[in-house]
Amino acid sequence: MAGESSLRKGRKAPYALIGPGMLWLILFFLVPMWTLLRIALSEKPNAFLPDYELTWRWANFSDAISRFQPELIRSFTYAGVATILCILIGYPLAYFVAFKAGRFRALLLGLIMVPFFTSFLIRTIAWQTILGQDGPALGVLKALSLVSVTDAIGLTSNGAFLNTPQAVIGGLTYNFVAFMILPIYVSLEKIDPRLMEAARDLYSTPAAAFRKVVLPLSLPGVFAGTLLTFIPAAGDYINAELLGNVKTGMIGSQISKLFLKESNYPEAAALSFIFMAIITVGVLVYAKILGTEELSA
Amino acid sequence: MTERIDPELAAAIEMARRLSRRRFLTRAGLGAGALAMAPGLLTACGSDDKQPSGSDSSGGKGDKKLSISNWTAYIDQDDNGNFNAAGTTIADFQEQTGIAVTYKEDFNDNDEYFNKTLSPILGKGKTLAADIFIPTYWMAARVVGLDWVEELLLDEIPNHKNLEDNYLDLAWNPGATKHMPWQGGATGIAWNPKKTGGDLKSINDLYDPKYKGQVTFLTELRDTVGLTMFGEGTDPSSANLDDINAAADKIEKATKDGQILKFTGNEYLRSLENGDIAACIAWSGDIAQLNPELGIKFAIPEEGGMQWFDTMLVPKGAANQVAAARWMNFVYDPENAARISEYVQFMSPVKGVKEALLAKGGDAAALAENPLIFPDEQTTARLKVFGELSQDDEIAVQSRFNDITG
Repeated sequence: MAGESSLRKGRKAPYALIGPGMLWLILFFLVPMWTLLRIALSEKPNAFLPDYELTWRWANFSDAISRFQPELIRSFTYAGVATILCILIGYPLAYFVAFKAGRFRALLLGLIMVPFFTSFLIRTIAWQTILGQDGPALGVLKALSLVSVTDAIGLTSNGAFLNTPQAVIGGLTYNFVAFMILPIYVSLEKIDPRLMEAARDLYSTPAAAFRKVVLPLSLPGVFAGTLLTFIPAAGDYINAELLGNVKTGMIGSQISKLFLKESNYPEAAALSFIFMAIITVGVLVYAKILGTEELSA
Repeated sequence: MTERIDPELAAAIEMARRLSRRRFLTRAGLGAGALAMAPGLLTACGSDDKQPSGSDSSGGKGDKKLSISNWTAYIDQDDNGNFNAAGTTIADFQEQTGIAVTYKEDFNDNDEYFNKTLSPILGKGKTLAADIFIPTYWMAARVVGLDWVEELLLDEIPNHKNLEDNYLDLAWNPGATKHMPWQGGATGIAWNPKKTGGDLKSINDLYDPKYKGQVTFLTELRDTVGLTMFGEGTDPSSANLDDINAAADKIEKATKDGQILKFTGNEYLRSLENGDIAACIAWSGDIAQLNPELGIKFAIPEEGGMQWFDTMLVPKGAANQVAAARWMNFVYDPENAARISEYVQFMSPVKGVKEALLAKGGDAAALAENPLIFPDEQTTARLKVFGELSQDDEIAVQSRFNDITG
């Protein structure tokens, strides 16, 4: 009897453990998604009234795609470039902090995080001042007469930093780079230093040791960092709004305009869905390429 | 994604709005009409569907409490931001009437308030927490058209007679029986002479290729399209769809050509201050409050400027309609209106404010001479209010405009 009851308890335990998480997902993910999907397939007979009719209007999706294709492409391009920049900046930094910083490790980690105690918005507005026509960044370039050079290599457009696509991508990179550094740092920090010693003992060059030992072991961190960077960056619209121009609008601002300015909830919901679907597919493909067994480790 | 950012964005809008309200004039030379709001306001009313009933429908006649939703920095307060500190309008009102006022600065954006608050609540036949809210005129016209407001209890508002005459003839509510204007203002052009090398006169100067990529327009449809219509020689108060589309074509082309750098809300002020743009469409009082050393100038274009006003409405079924009426009566007393004007420095819709300010003397009297608050007749004659659009037209135009503004 006692054995049976403990067995039953054992069977129930996983469900009990998964319960809170599932409840959370159902309440705050599945239910809203269901509502969103219903709205995406509805029509609003009167734009000013809050009522919908579920008419299975799939055309909301095609309408949204054809109307907002440029913004969709732009969002993913900007987010993609920003994510790559985040890896290029974040990985060496995380590597340094994990392996070379010694007793300054905690201090350096703290310094990386400190700017993020300030509001996202305030930090982005600060970039307006830094990048502006009379700001310090352009001031240095002008003093060195380098503006034509930076124009040529695409860092500036027509002698301006601010209100360019470069500024938007730069803003995205800056705002999300910490989300790249931290996961990579965690995965690097976990690596047993003796593995690298072993590689050295086996006559591996430092470069080969990095490529064959450190890099593969840190990939889960890169993967997590990529997700944490790319997804919010693609959905972000503050950077595009504050640092970009009329030709750098991203998908987030279009969804918000559809909701708030045009009262077109169905198309806004459809556009949100399309956006999430593309991201989900992208993440699955990415996970497949990077190898999921690495990630479960 | 948007949910995460939304509160911050709302806070920023509020901050920007607060700035703009605070910045509003004191110095500056130019004009726009307080005493006489634009002749545009007088536009063909034609419709005679006056509905005297309405106040008897539903809702409460409460006269003990009052809840008001307003834009930020839109009423006098003490230095710590207390609305009901001794000597403020709200404190005096509470003292004189015994009505407890809940005053919230939660009206950030017309469309946002409509889509997040009005439509989901009033559209479902439920009651709003606020007894008075204060949208801009075109939103007020929409809400009145949807019949989501109560008739004002005019018996409780003898000071209704102090309303400037121009407001009595609006097509969407002849006689102003459902709304009472709070404050008004004007939209024109601003420029940085160091960047432009001279003064601008016309709205079409913003389309001059000399300033390519150094010009910003406003995301506010009626301001941007309305001024462009003036430049095209068409009448923004007529709301003729062909004319609106022609103006939109012009804006779209200028956007594609790179003439217009971006469309902004209050952020254009930072761009002007930082020297990132040469010229822009701007709200009058904002510019007056910029540091004079920057030399930024503002004018109503020679073709004309846009006029706007925010107006008090009582939502359908509001619990405290008597209290709301008494509040309106109170702020339409010229003395009380003058105190609000002194603080917010917009164009007051209340007759007798100029005289009340002059009588106060000192800074207040100086304000009475400010042409931005009390403009001369010539300026007033050049200001117009954007015409009323039908619901379908409004959505079509707004949707096209949204595509242009990126």
